[in-house]
Amino acid sequence: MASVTSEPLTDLFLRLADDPSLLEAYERDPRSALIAAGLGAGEIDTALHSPEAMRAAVDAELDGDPELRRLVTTPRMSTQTPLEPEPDEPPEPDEPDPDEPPAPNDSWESRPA
Amino acid sequence: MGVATGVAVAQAPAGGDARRGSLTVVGTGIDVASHLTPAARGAIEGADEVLYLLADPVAALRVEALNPRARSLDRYYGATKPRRETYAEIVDAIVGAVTGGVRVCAVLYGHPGVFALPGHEAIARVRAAGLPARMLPAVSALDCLLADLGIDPATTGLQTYEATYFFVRRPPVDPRATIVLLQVGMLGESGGAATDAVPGRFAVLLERLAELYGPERDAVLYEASPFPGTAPSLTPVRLGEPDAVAPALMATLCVLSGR
Repeated sequence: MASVTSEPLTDLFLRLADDPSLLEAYERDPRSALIAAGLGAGEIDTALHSPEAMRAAVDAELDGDPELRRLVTTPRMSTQTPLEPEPDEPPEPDEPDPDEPPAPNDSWESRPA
Repeated sequence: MGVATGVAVAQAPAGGDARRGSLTVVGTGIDVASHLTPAARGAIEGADEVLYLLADPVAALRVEALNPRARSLDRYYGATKPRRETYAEIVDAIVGAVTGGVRVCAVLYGHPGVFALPGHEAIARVRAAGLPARMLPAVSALDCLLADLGIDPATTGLQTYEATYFFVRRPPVDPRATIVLLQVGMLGESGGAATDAVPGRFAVLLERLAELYGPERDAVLYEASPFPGTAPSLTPVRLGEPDAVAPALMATLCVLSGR
């Protein structure tokens, strides 16, 4: 079982991944599990507020650990619009909106839509 | 379209044996605690080399715990570096390890083949080199959206596009069906990070959608939760009020069915 005992929130999620009964209990009552993990009431309120808040709490934990700081990265996209026009490209639409923001600085994106 | 930089040739370095090289591409799903399948876990644990690209540090820690030889692919990204270049390098790294004669497991977040280019491309190149490659299915952000928003594609119809593709190409749409646009938080971006231009592009996108669907159509900015016990992020959007919101980096825009 993975463990990072000095990071209580991260450690809790790692234990949840390896323990179905603990996961079931957590999903039933996350607040109690977080208290048992050593988090304070304020931290729990913040973390449970939204996925972004929980992510920030996990990042803050790991960012304080010199060994684990490397894991705190920006989420990355793993796909992108194809470069080539499709063989049966539909007709060009109407004139672009004059208020439209400038196209990104990439050849495929700067083509008239 | 792919990012292949050439067809790989099965060639082992000194001491390696290209004939035993293989590739398994797996996904961790979205929820860090419950989405990794037993098959994906087995592939990670049994690999000689694990290369991962994950959206969450807890998932990265778990993969490293399952296999100490796991290495992140995040180093190939740069804020202004073209992602297309990044993807080519990621594919080269994966294929190079396989043709070097080791069993490689590439780990991506979500489903490794849904809105994820490098896995498909690496598999094609490994197979072209005469070596075995496979992809294991996983839970995607789209799967989470359907569950969290209570959408059944059989009832409403479902159109799904990468947001920039939709923005640039303007494909024909069925305005009665649900439409899901992924990666709105990177709308129009070709680098590794979002810029300040995204909110402006997003406003234009909403204006176009309002023309297609009407300004009163319900839409939502959605972000699946990677953490058990934490609800997904849901922000209602009015297509007729394009300046009201800006998308988060990992957000998906869903225009709900008018049926």
